[in-house]
Amino acid sequence: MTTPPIRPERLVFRRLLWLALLPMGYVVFMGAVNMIVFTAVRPAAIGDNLLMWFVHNPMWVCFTIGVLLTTFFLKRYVMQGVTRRQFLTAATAVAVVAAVGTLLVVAVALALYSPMLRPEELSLLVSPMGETASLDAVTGSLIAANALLGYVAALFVGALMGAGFYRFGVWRGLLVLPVALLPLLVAELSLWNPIPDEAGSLQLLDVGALAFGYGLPLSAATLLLAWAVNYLLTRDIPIRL
Amino acid sequence: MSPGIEVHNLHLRYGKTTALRDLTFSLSGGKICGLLGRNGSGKTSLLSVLASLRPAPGGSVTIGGEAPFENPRVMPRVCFIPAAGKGASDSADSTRVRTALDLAAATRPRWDRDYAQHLLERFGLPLDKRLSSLSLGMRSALNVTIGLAARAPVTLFDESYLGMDAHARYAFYEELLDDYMATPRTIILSTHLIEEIGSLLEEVVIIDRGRLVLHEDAETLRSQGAVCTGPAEAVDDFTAGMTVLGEQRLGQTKATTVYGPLDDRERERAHAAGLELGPVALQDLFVHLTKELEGSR
Repeated sequence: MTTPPIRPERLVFRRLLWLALLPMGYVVFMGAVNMIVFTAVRPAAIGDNLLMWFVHNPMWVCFTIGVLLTTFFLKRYVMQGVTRRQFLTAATAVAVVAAVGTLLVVAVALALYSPMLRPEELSLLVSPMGETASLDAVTGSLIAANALLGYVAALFVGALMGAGFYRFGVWRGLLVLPVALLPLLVAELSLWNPIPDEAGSLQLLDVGALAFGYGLPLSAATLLLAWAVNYLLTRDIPIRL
Repeated sequence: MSPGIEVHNLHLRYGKTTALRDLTFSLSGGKICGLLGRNGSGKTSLLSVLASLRPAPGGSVTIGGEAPFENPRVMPRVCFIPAAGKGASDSADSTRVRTALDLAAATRPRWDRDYAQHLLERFGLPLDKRLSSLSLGMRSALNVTIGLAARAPVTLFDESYLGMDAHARYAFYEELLDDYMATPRTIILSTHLIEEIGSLLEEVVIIDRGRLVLHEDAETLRSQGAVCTGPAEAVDDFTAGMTVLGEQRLGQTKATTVYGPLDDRERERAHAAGLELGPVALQDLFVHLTKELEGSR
């Protein structure tokens, strides 16, 4: 009796899909913990905490998943006859699902939290530097775009760093770091970073103009660059025994 | 039909170390071929290239007429089973036996689930155990289970018996032969246990320091020497001037292994002297052939 195989890309995608649940699970878990802490002690900087826990911290979960893709999972599939290209296609799809899924979970979490926050806490959530801002559609979509790009960047950067270290070893692998970290830096800095104004105090960039001007395309371009470098590194990567 | 394998001027380096040097040979396919060589001779490197685990930077390799590397038509049809701990059953892998088998079943077009079940029972492999908790021998048993049940047209076993006890190894050889007879395919066995698998081999490739030493039919290779047994004095007389690979003595009886073909006249002379001529062990030939090169190392 033989079993007909399914397309390798689909097979790898299905088998790796659980990885996409990790950052979402993290948000749900931290949301629950935060809810308990919030209702119990109501810390002053809850808005800032929420932003860190919900929007930024899942990036590190995404980053870890990215590292694991090449260093742990690639060998397993190539050993079973899956081509590196097929694996990359599936892994990219998993990364996109992870990023979009996490964003949706974060959005739901923030929506649940927002009514519980006082106006000043809400403004902290929107503007970490304490600027008065409201969560209107534009600001919300910019936060979402930032978070999405951040998650995708973390996944791609992790994958690229994993591929670099796997392929070149520890020391030569370090040479990949500047290219690898670029998308993450751009995603962070171009859309989110506070800069000093004329009076010397910190304020948020005009994120609307920046995001739709060059921040978003720049971030997207560096993401594509990271993906392309990862593809070039992985397409003929020797599998270590 | 089992695909043939063509290796042409294959060259592979790891930094300053040359693993394979202009290796050229071809296997017609549908046979069990022994890949023999000393430690560091390049056996695993060669198998890694055949299995597309690494590209062939110099020279070319084709399987069934197609380059295998990143070829979605060829890669699922080539199954590489490395020594335990290196492949499907990594010692650091926390997945379960069932999951490893499921992956192989999903990726191998000719996977035989019933046969896999039979092998699991024969090797006593527990489905729910994690790979990391299996002994080396059990991990090897899982690897060969995957290699056999995959029924890949090209199956490469690279010292897959590591850690398996004698019972398990002989079970593996028995299953390998039975399954090969039932579903012929191209099988390459890389091994140091030449005595154990010698009788399975139809073709032999010997490499040393990345170079091809010999590629022969096993029968032809065995006829390259003989074991001459009889009274010690008569054996010594007969083998005088021949290349002696080894000697064993029990009382007045002596068995001497000689290298080099014996013609009809010599065989008649041996018979007349009351000597028995038997086939030479593959391992003795291997040791001799690779020892010859040792001086040039």
